[in-house]
Amino acid sequence: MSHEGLNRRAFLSALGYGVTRACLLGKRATWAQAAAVATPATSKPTRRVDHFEAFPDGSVACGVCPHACVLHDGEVGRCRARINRGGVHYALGYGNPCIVQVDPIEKLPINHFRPGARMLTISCGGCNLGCLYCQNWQQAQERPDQLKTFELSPREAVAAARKHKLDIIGFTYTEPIAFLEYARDIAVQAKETGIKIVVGTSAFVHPEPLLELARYADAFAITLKGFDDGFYQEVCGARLDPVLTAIKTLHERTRCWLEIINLVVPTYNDRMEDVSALARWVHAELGKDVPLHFARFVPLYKLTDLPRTAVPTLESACAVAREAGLRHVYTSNIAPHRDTNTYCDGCKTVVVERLGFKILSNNLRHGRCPICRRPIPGVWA
Amino acid sequence: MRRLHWSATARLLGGLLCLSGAMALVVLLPTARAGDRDWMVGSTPKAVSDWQEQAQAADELLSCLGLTRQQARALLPLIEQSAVVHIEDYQSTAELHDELVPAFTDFARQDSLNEGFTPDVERRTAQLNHQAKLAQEEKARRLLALEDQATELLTPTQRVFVEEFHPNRQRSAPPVDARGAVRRHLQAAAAQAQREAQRDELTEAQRALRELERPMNPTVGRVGNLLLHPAAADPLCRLAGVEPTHTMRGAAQVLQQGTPAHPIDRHREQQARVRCLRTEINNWNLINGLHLSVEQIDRVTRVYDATRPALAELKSRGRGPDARRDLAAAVLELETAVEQVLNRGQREVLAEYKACLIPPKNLKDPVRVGQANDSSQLERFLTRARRLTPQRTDAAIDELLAKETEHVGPLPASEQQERRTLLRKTIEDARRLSDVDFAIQKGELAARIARRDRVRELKTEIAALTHDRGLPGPISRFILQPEFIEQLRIRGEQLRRGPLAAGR
Ligand code: SF4
Repeated sequence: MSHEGLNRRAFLSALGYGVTRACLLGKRATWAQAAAVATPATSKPTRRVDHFEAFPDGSVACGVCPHACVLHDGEVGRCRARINRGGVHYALGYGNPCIVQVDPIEKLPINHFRPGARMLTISCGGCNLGCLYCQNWQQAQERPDQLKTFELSPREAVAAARKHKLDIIGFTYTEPIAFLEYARDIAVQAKETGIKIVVGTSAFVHPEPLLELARYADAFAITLKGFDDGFYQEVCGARLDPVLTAIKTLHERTRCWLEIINLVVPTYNDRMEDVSALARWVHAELGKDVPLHFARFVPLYKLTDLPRTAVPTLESACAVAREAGLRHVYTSNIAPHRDTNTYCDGCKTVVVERLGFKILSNNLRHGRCPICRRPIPGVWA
Repeated sequence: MRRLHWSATARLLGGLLCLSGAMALVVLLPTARAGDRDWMVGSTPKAVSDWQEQAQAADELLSCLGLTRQQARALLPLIEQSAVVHIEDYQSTAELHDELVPAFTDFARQDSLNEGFTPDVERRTAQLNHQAKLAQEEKARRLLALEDQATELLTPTQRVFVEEFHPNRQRSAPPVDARGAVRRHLQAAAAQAQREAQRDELTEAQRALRELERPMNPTVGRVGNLLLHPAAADPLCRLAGVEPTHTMRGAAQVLQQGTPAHPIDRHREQQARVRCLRTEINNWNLINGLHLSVEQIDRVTRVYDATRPALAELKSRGRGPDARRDLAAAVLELETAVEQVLNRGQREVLAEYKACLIPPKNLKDPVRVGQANDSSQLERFLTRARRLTPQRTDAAIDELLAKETEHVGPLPASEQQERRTLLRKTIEDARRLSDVDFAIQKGELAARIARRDRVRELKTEIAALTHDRGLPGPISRFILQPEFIEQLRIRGEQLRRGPLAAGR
């Protein structure tokens, strides 16, 4: 974090928000300590992890994400979702999601993929990041086997979606990388029945496991937390480079629809220089048509002393991203706001008008602007 | 609410009389009243004028109501109790206002930044606001009970007369013969009421809304406000041929001068501040929820500024039919101009907007303004109810119905059984579903049992009718208000200063 950031934080504190760096540093230590925790004997791991290496001393090295946890017998990984049991690496929570519900696809957020569609959302406990502002900390920062869960095999998950006429299954709220094996197996089943798969992830994952899921997925909403490795390490307990690699991998090696989300945290990642760098990277590596969302921060979990993101900050971020050449830039988590609508890049007509998660109007004609006929990038049907 | 008991009231009165010393005693002496009035006007003009207005209204009402001495005597114990309610209410609201002002000030300050609230400020405001609501309800509840008893003492004709009584109207034409005035007034009122009832759906919808909202916000009627007000004690005592009691005189003193701890000047000032702060907070909530751009703000304020002189001129032309028609037309034109500035989402938010102090915090929905209509409460109810035993299910249903009555008004008796049956059946259906199926279907099930919100329906109907008839709607009510426009200008400046300056 830069010195400027610190000064602004101090300024904010003086205004009465009481943000103290010491307090946050204390909290940062909290997640780091969560790395290797002994598991109670009651856990029921149900599926082997695909990517790990077993050592003669009974330990395992996980190969799913760049944390590369080395776990002794009975230890769980940093994501709280994988366990070494007797020298074999297992996925905790496989078939036991803690969240099963129906959501509008806009909730991911994803704006250029079947607007207004409803999806069956499935997620399990755990996350390989430890964002201090986690928006779903009650599930994401818990072990999957210590939450109230459903019994739902991949086959049953797909059957449930079909039964309720939901043709999209989404993995979001917590981190699908923490339940990658389960997500992948559902996606495999879903593919056979024509159900689409959308994934909301932070993409802190090695390319191989990610591609195994992406092979069966249709869209990704990826949260790029910031464009500063210090921020990633300090606030999210991860690193920037592997995330950028994962996003590029998806872009280059799959046909999945991509949208990028940046949650703008006041005083942490709201410097316009960082926003600009992020937007320029998206433009250069992913292209001008990839939508970029700037989401409003709401104080939660361990960053409750911070204010919500100021709306002008989000608007400036949008302006900066447009200057960088991106065509579809959104604000999210605020409504009503003009930047939640989709505009034709040519004639600036509103082609999809939104109010929160609600579609007020969808004027697209076969994926094109109704006025100038310019195609709007996305998956519209 | 800090409710004082009789003994406490007596102590308070005793203390009051001792502490305020000779000055207070002088005020209490009827012979000294005229001279003291000058002194009081100088120090507490508003309070005194309020009191004088009340006293004048009571005088007028009693002069034409034709109460018998017996009726007047029967009313005296009620006015005595009403005096106690007023004294206790004064004390508790004065104390509460001292806390509300700083709390609301902090809340308004944070609200103006549109960056959420610090937990302590939010908690404190919510607590005090709740306390204020309870205090208000308690006062209304006690006065309503007295009002019921007082109404029983009046003849049907007198009851209607009191309900229809408008002090200013009567003042312009004082009745020569009280009974004749009552009769004439009643005939005119009945004819007018009939005309209005027949006139249109709008009146009907407004009446239905009032009826529906009455139990949710119990308000004291004219009998309680005029006949049982401590200012009516003097004329009523004269009519009854008795002297005002110690408590009645104490109430008169409290309502004109305040108490030693809370002098009336300061109390009025605090009351006014609380009112202003409430308006300011409601305005910020709406401004924060609308997310107007700088351009939109500029356009709205420009339209407002451009039409204000013309509106002022129209208003100054009085309340004649032509003046009212012209004013309504001008207001409608202004509303239309502002409506065109708003986008569809903003119009929708405004149409649904219900003023509230603390905006809803539903993280599932980014539209956070006014009082949200949230189906997740019913989802939670079903989630809980499907696990309950049949015996406890009924208790849960009772609880839900009570909450609904509180929030959306009571259900007509004819529909109560039907609703119970629907709730029971839906809970049964929810029980039969597997956990996964229930998780997927709970939204639909909740929608099935969502109670018809008659208040909302009527408001929508009224909004549509008023709009069709060129009458002012939510844009006039919420946006085209001087305070709102001023706050909008502040927001415009904040936005113009850019991200760093805007909120910090
Ligand atoms: S996926 Fe979990 S166990 Fe594996 S390396 Fe990452 S944090 Fe560790």
